Amino acid sequence: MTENDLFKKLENLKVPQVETPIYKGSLKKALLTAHQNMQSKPFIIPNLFINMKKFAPVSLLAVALVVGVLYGTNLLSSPIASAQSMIEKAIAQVEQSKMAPDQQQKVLAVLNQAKQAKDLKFLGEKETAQNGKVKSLSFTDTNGKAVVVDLKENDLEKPASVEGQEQEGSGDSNTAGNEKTQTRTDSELNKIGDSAETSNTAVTGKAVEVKQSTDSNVEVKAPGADATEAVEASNDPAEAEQLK
Amino acid sequence: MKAEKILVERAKKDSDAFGEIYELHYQRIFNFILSRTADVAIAQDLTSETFLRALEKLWQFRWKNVPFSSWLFKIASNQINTHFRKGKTRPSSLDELYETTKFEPAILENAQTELIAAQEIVQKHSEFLEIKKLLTKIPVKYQEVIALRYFDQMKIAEIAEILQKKEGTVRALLSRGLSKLERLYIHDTSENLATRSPKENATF
Repeated sequence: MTENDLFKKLENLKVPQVETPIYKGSLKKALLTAHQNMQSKPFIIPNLFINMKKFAPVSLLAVALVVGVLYGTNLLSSPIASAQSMIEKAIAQVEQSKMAPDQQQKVLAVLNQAKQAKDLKFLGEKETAQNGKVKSLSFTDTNGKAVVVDLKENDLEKPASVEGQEQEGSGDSNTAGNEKTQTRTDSELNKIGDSAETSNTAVTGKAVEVKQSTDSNVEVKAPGADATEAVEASNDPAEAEQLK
Repeated sequence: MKAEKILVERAKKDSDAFGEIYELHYQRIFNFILSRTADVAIAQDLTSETFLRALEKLWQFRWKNVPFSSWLFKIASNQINTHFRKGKTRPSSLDELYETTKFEPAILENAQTELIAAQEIVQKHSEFLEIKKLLTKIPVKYQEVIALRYFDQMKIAEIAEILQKKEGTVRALLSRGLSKLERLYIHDTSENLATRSPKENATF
């Protein structure tokens, strides 16, 4: 026998042709009965129940996805998440800015502390004379001080100001005496705001300033507002002198 | 083709029209399944399951200028593959059909006699059974192409329609399947020759 035999066999293969009329007739009756039953019953409801088993895992997955998406959306839009994203944007912007290295480091240090703080929260928006609309965020730094950060509302990438509120006597020694606590009148504070704005604009081209107040209460104070205690933490010695 | 389209549309709502479709296609579908299984009882079950599925899914059927039989063959082919994969003797949906419609041919004496007679006919086709035995040794994807081509005498284009594959793919499957079958055939034949007695070989 050769392999050609196989093809010959296949070509001339006699496949059994079997007829089973009794079975065929019975099946036809059964199918027609089933067809009539399907027509008489409401169509969707039985199918729905039949398919329920099939779609149960898919449905569970879909529900889990919806819950996940809703939870995720809620989490993203939560005050902590939105405050975090604002801080992250601000950090990126400060890192790219042409600020004086010292000042940049100081601002970044505060922003990084804010980023890591567990109690970072968005306080709200406010209108300031110096920076226009700003968004205020508050957090507790590593020394347990309450700090308030102001970010320009129209351009979140540009941090407007950072205010810290701490216990009297504490401060950053690297700022060459600028962290001294002083009591000022409203007019003096206006001066601070003005001078700080001028100084910082000259350095970075952006309205960025770092302020710390001695008031332990968490209270947002924009430059030029009626704060009673404030410390200018500028790296400009002349300006710091003027502030004193 | 147009008449068939109208009949199929009617069959979605009219049981008589579905009966017409059944009469038109039953024998061909049954013999196709029988050629793959070589077992009348299994072929009856799978044929029933094929038409039951067709009835359940008929409302989803969309006419695409392809004969309705291609759709039925596709269902039948899937049923056969499921049968070989799972080794089930009877699909569970058939039990439901039997229960709801009080249809149970196995209990009818005439049906049993018919089944035995039919199986005897199948057993007489020794050459077919020989090929069928070899065919079950190759993967199912080759089996179905060879069965459609040689058992049901279908053209490549028809097979492509049923299996929803390109004609080139069907040709390739057929060619590879035949090569595998050929190897088995040669091996089987040489083994048979070797096991024969010297006397038998001398007369051969």
